[in-house]
Amino acid sequence: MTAESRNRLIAVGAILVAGAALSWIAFGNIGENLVYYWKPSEMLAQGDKAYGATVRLGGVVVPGSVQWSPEHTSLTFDVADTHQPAAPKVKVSSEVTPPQMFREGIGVVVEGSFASDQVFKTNRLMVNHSNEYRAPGSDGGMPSDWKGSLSQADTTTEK
Amino acid sequence: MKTLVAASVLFAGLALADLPAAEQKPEVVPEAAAPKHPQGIENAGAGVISGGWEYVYAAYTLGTLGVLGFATSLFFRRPKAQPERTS
Amino acid sequence: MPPFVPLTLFALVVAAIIAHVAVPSVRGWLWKPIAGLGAFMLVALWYLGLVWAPPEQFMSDVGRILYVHVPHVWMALLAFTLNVGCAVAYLMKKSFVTDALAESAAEVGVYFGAVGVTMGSIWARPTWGVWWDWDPRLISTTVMLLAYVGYLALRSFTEDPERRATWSAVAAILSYVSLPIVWFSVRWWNSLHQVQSSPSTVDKPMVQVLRWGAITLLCFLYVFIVKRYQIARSRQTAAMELPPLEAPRPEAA
Repeated sequence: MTAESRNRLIAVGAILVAGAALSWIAFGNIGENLVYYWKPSEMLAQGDKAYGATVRLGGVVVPGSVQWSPEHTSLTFDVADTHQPAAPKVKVSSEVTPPQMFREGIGVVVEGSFASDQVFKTNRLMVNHSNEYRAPGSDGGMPSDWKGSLSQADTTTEK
Repeated sequence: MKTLVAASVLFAGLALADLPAAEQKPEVVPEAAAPKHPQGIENAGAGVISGGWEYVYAAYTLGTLGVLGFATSLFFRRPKAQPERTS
Repeated sequence: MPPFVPLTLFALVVAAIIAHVAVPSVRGWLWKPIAGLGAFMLVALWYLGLVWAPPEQFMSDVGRILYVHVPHVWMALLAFTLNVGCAVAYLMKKSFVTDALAESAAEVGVYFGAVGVTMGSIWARPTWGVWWDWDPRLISTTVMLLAYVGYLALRSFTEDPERRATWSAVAAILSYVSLPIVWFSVRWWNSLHQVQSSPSTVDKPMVQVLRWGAITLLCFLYVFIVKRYQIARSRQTAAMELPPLEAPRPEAA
């Protein structure tokens, strides 16, 4: 066997191993075992097993559920699976100040633990950004007063 | 910052004059909470980011310095006395 | 702009790299106008990204990081693709040219990837609220970069040029598995990182600046890879020449 054909054999072997590894990750059940966060429905489905452990919960902030403490430093809100009104939801109590982008309807990932009082306590609150990048006012408002037009539509901050 | 200091001195003076202690709380809370939040507590949960230019400049500066830095490292590693090219 | 244009641009860069490798007369000058174009476009990118482009409706000015973060990661993915192409080519037909090109593409890819991830972290702080979180996209990107750092380490630890070329080509093919995982991580798993945008989810001026940024970095991708390639070639030649004290022999080109 020449060095050349040995190298080609190595190439075929390496590509096969790489392809097998990739399809194992893509189509195997590793996807179900690696969970970055639970949706509210998935966490509720765990029943008592979900209590106490430090987990991440992800979903969307239910519009109208955001309640700030008087000093505006902590808050409670509901996190639902989807934007559907009937979607399963979990009450979240946050002791940390949320990022500026936090608002009703935004995607959030909170890290903390669920307790038998059905409240998820978190001290790490992250918000996500969609894959949409829009200039302010591109949905009708005047570009110059984009901040104003948004705060009219948004009543999350009840100072 | 100066106005803030001046205002709090004035405020403290006023507070000492007639209403001691009780009124000082709101002045203290944002100061203490500010470090937890990228842009200060007053805009927390507003739905829209205000400011944050320092992050933008940091990212653009990093990109530009990175290009310059990588180019410099390539220059210092350049092949010596190669007849096919010079740089 | 039809979807094949970005790939056409990448094909153009690959063609220019091949021209640099194959045609000696191109080597001396082609990188200079491209470096100049890149420098000009980079200066203009500051203006286009920071002034000309509109703010984002929720991220406002912080959204401007889009125009540098995303192109950097794209360049890393392109460089790693070039790397695996060269690795397979080397195993199919032994040549120190493809070996040197694979090495330079990997190093340039690690550079762009590391800068892109750092920019992402800077962006995450004001938007997500955290510098970092172990979300699938961030994990897979970290693994990808570490794989290529390992690839470069393997190369620097192996003395014999042929053994190094062969086994690093195998490492390159195995490392490339991480690339589709990075790309699809946001679709396969729940993640904090958003899924890929497309021109239909991004306003037109933003798409234009993003493309400007991508072309800017394509210029630097070309210059960095060909310059790094020359370094790799001269090291190979030096390694070949050392034992017998003879006149330099032209290597297989």
